[in-house]
Amino acid sequence: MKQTLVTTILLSGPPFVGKTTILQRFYEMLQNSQFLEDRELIFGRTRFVDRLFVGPIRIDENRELYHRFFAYGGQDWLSTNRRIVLSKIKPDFLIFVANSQDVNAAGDERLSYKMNQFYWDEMQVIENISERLPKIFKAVVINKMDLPGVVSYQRILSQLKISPSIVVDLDGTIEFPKSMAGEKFTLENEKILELILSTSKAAIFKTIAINGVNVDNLLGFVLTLLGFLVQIKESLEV
Amino acid sequence: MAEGRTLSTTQVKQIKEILKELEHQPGVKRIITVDETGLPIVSLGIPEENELAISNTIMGTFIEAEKLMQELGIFPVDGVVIETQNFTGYIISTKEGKAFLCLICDKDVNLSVIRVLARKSINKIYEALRLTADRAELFFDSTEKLIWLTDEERKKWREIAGQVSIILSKKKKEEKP
Repeated sequence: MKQTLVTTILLSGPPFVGKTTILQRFYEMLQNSQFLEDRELIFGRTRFVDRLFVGPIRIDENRELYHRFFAYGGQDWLSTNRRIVLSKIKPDFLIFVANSQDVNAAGDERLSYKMNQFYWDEMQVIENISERLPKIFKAVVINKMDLPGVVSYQRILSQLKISPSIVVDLDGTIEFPKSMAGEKFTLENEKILELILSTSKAAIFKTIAINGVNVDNLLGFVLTLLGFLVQIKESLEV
Repeated sequence: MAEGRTLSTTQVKQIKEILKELEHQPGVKRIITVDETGLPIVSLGIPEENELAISNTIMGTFIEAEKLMQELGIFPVDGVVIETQNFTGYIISTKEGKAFLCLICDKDVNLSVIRVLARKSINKIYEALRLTADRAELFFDSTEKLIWLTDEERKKWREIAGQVSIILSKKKKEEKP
């Protein structure tokens, strides 16, 4: 009997930051591949949870791998649903999509980067997700980089109290660490591997999801990292 | 029957077996089981394109009913009955909300019988989920140790990264006219 390995990836963050759009870009990138299993994306205002199921990816004769992406609706009136998602879905990878807009540019604090902290802190107090958070890999996506009034990634990270392992700029080059600044982000580079295998830091991706800018690097990062972990530690069986 | 994709094949098979008893019960028209995240597990008589929206709503309805009764200080909720002109809907949940079961029956069905059968089925579903859904928590517990990789593991990483970039670059090429 074939062994089925499944990983779960959760996209979280404030409302209207582009969680569904990022999933849609992932979908488009995989659309013609043989790996797309299922999807349900609700644009505008996610009703409950968006999902994108990728797989089966054949590992060898006896093993198949599936990736399940979920994104919750971030709006205030969905707070109950959001908490259910956070407490029920056990992610193996967290993609936190941050609001990148300054208060003045957004015109409303609730649509600015100030909301990031609430949505980040919320995860620290909800059962299941709070226990898993320190143990799992994390990426912070700073989306909508094309809009005026984007705050610095340092400001967002200091708000979330998390250090970056690597920062990938819009053009796919490394911005941080400085020792690698300007180099192309490629997962086959072993120096990058040393940086990103840390659960206490987060990989930062600057994106313009609506145009698909730098989203391929994010998807490549998630698929490679989880594919690797599943294959060298074979205990993730559902 | 439409099949959900969030559980293992074994679990889905077990749940299908459990539902067989209900499926043949006179008056039962539609059945859907929903997992703890609101996704469909197995359904009968539900159009596939509506399955997800319906399963989310079933979970939401049960939780909202629980919230309502909790406000009134009355709990736990055993089930939710929805009556329409021609049909009766009945929603119940497992312990710890691991799964939800919704039955749509003819109006004149004996609801007491349905209640008993539904409870029996949901208890079996709970067991099927509890016994096989334990994930290996250890998997991600020791990820920090991965910083020290063997040559073999590094090779594996390069292989996987290569495969992933092939998948993604293939798509990029197809996009170009």
